[in-house]
Formats: sequence, structure tokens, C-alpha cells
Amino acid sequence: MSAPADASKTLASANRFSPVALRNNAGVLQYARSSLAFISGAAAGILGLEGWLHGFLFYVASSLVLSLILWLKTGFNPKRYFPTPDMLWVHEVAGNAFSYLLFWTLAYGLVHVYD
Amino acid sequence: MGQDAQQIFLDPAIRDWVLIPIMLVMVLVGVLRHHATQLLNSTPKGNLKGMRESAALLRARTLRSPAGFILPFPAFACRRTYLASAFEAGSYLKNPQAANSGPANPMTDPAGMEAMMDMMKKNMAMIVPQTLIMSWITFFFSGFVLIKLPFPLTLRFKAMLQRGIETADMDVTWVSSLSWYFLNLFGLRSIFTLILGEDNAAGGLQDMNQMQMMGMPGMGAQQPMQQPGEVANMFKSEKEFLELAQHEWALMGVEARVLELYGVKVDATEGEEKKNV
Repeated sequence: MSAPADASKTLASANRFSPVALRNNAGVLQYARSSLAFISGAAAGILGLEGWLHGFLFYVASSLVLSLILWLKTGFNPKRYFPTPDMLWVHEVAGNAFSYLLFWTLAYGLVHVYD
Repeated sequence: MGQDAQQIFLDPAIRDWVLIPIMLVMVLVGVLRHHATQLLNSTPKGNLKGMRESAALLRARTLRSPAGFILPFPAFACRRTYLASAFEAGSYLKNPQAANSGPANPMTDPAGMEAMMDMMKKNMAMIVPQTLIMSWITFFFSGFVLIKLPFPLTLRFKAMLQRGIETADMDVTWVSSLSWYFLNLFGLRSIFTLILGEDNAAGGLQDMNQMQMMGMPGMGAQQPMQQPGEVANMFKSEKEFLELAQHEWALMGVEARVLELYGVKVDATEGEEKKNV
């Protein structure tokens, strides 16, 4: 059987990733996101943000800034480092939301509740 | 918090002796759990035949992935035929005669027994400290108003978050020590990632991922919990995948591609010859 020309072309020219390097990249991404959850949560608490909307927007905005910086660092080509390009934008954002909540609450409590 | 509807002044001693100690204890228990898990982790004892079984699957998978394209087509076809016939005959199976018998009792298999012990140890390492901390908190700190959440919650959460505080009119955002515990339980994961590294055993949530990974075939390591019949089925399906595998030699038309790198345009139809796969 003969494969269709365009399909086989994409098959042969598909990126081949080294699993070790992929795991390392995912680890770096996770490390950055964890730090971000910690720092942005503390910042939101110190700023005294209140309500789901403000906190959520702040977290999304800071995640977006981090993603933009990482995007810059990949040379605007995340496909070279991640199997899917959207991994750079969404990976572990939801997973670290609880950490953001924790540090938001902690910093808010320390600064604004206990005088 | 000046213009809030409800203003409660919390004693700074509550912060110093309840809020921060709870968090500190949970972080330290997580670190302890991580190291205890590493100590308890026994390295899986693989036997030769079991290794061969999983290595054969891994080899077939590599062959039909794009990594196999570095082989010229005859070499690929030769390997494919060989592996497919080996899978068909079951010559790589750990114990070929067990393939047709029903699911074996994992208790009788020493390897399966060991894996179950491992899982139990891990579960115990998670459940025991969490139960201890929770009873510590409920015993000493029940009824403390600890902190104010910066986000509003509906009244339905009141019974859960303010357990032990029998004040009907208090705002839901003021929460007790037990809810601070739960917030820590879910939120400390990123801290563990920062201080213990990527795949730490502190949070306990990773264990579930590992359990799901167990079901996935051919992860490289040997899987002691697998039934022999399952492996035989995996061999069968891998054989079918191999027979369906497409192959394109990575060096096909390489002359034209190299010339293109140096700016020479080659007619595409001239350089590439169609090869039947």
C-alpha cells in the first residue's frame, strides 16, 4: 500500500522528541508555575484583592505574563520544546490554582486581618 | 479591612501559635513523608524473563514510531516480520503456558505480593500523618476563628468551614482552623515542588497518577501487577499495530533536501521516487 504523499510527508518530517528532554522541559515549566503561584498569591494578598473576580483575573493575568516571557525565551517557537504548542500556555495553570488560593489567603490574613 | 460589614479583631497570638504552626507542621510532615517514602521504597526485583517481556514490547513500539524511519525499508520489514512472528508465537512471554489460564490470584505470585505491599506502605505513609494532624487540630484548635478568606462563599459552606464555631450571624468568610488545614492540604503542592523537586512524594496526589500509570502497557519498567493473560493480549495487539505500521525512510530524497539547504532548487518529482510500503 502506498501512503498518500502529504500524509507521509508530515509523518517523516514530524518532530522527534527526546523523552528525557521533554520531561526536563515539563519540570522547568512546573517549577516556574509553582513559583508564580506562590509569588502572585502573596502579591494578591498584600494588595488586598477581594472577591473571586479580582483574584481570578490577577492569577490569569500573571500566568499570561509568565507564558509570554517563556514564549519569548523559546524564540516564539514553543513547538521546538513542547509536543503541543499550547502546553506552554495552559500546562499546570489549573493545578497550581490551589497554591495561589492558599498564599492569597495567607498574605491577606497576615497583612489585612491581623493588624 | 476598615469598611467591612463585620470587623473582628483577632489576637496576634492566634497567628503566632495556631496559624503559622499549622502551616509549618504540614510542610515539615510533607518533607518527612517524602523522605520516608524514599526509604521504604524497595527497588523492584526484576527477573530476566519479565524484563525480556517488557523490552520486546518497547522495541516493537520504537520500531513503529517515527524513530524507526532511520532504518532502510528492507531492514524495517525484516524486523517487523521477526517481531510479529515472535509475538504471534508468544516466545517472549514470561510463562507461555499461563497465557491461556484464567486470571491468577495475585496473592500467590510473590512479585504481585510485593507490589501490593509497596502500595500499602505508600498509602499508610499518607493516611497516618494526615489523620494525626487532623486530630491534633480538632483536639487543640477547634472553635478558633483563624483567618478571613479574601473571596466570598455561599452560606452552604458555613456548616463545613465554621465547624465548632456556633455563631449564626458570622460571615462565611471567617473560617476555622480545620478549613485552614484543608486549604494547606491542597495548596502546599507547589511549595513541595519548589523545595523537594519535581516528582516528590510529599503531597500524595501523585500516587493516584502512578496507579493510573500502572495500567499503561510498556512504560519501560516491568509491571508486577499485570496478569499473564493481559500481556498475551498486549502482544497480540502490538502485532496488529506492527502490521499496520507505515514506514518512510528518513533518507528518502535526501539529495534534493540537502541541495535545497544550499539554495539549489530541485524539481520535487525528480528527486523523490515513490516507494511502495
